Amino acid sequence: MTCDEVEELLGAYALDALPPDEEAAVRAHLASCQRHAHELASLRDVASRLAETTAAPPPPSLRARVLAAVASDASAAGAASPAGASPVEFEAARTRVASRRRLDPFAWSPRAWAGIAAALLIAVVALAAWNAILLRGGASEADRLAARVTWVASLQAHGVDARGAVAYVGDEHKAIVFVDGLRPLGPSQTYQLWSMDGGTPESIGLMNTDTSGKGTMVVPFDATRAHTLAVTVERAGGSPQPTSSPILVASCIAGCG
Amino acid sequence: MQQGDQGAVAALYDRYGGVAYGLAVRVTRDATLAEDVVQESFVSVWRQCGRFDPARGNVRSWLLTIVHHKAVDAVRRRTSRAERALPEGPDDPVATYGRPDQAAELTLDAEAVRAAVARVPDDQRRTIEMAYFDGLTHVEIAARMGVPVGTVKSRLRIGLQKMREELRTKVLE
Repeated sequence: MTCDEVEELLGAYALDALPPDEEAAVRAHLASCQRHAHELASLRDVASRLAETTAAPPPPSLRARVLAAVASDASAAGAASPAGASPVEFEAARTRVASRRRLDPFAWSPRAWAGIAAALLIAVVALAAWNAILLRGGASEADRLAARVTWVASLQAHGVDARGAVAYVGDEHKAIVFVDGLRPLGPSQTYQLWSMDGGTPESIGLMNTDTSGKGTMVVPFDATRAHTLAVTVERAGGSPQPTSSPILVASCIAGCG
Repeated sequence: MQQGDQGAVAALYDRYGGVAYGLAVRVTRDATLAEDVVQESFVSVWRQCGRFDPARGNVRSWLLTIVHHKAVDAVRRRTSRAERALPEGPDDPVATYGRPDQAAELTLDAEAVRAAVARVPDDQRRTIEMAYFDGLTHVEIAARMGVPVGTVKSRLRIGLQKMREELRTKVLE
């Protein structure tokens, strides 16, 4: 396609009004034509101004949904280990997830890329559960807090086929924890939630799941002191300190400290 | 914005979420689909933030370009499955630019844009709107307007250039 032909199509291109073949031809030209790339940026800026005239308040739940999707994507980028990996110790899990997040996204190994597809699937399921919580409505504390979420982190599974997320509400120092795929425990056991940041884990609550393996709970969580939330299986009534390895871990909540 | 910097995504959403969502609703005419488009767009922005080049435009324009592209994609995928219904209602400026009860949500920017758009010749303005808001290709627009494709291409290009001039005038005012 010649420079003149592209010139004629630039307006249509800026408005996404070209069929795929012409669009591809213009894009190829733009890669090597500084003048037209610059003109396109200008026309796109003009076109995007039209969006100002249709601005509309999004549903309040969309904000949490968007942040959850970004968090899931972030953890998908780091999650290369398949579900069913052997349980790991607290500190090892924390360090490993934290170090993965520092990886350059353009330097992932082929193995990491292979894990992404599986992790994205998990993220999608987690998001569906998250949306269900948001859409359920009602006046529960989780519903009230959902619109004020400031950070969302995925729970990474270790040795269990489960998933979940932690939604943090910074100005109240609370977190909504939701899990999916955790089998309901018998009367002698409970799931216990911990907040920690390298030092001694602090118990922040006990929870169980329903028959479908889902559970939601609001717990106290102060991200100015701790950035990791973990779930273990403990005896009924809870333990003062964890007695087993975490099966779900969310790291870098509201930042990596 | 850096990889993992969710705070920046939240800030971007708080600033442009309403414009992004409104655009997605206008193009898809489907609130559920629009939410998916907005969600995908922000994830896309987050993934590509390392490639964003400030010299080639501002963040706002970049985000809305992604939203528009994804919204148009969604509409064309839907159209390929079932013939899309024609846009409902008459093509009058009130329907196109928001109802009066939405006016309070709009910024001064929207007023300036509306005024600038109003000064673009009618056939160019309508052609741009069919492309931008209805997600039609130049071929589809030509068929609906009963004009040659070349005319549509020119109207889109010259109309945008005219709008640019008018917006610059507004900014200077």
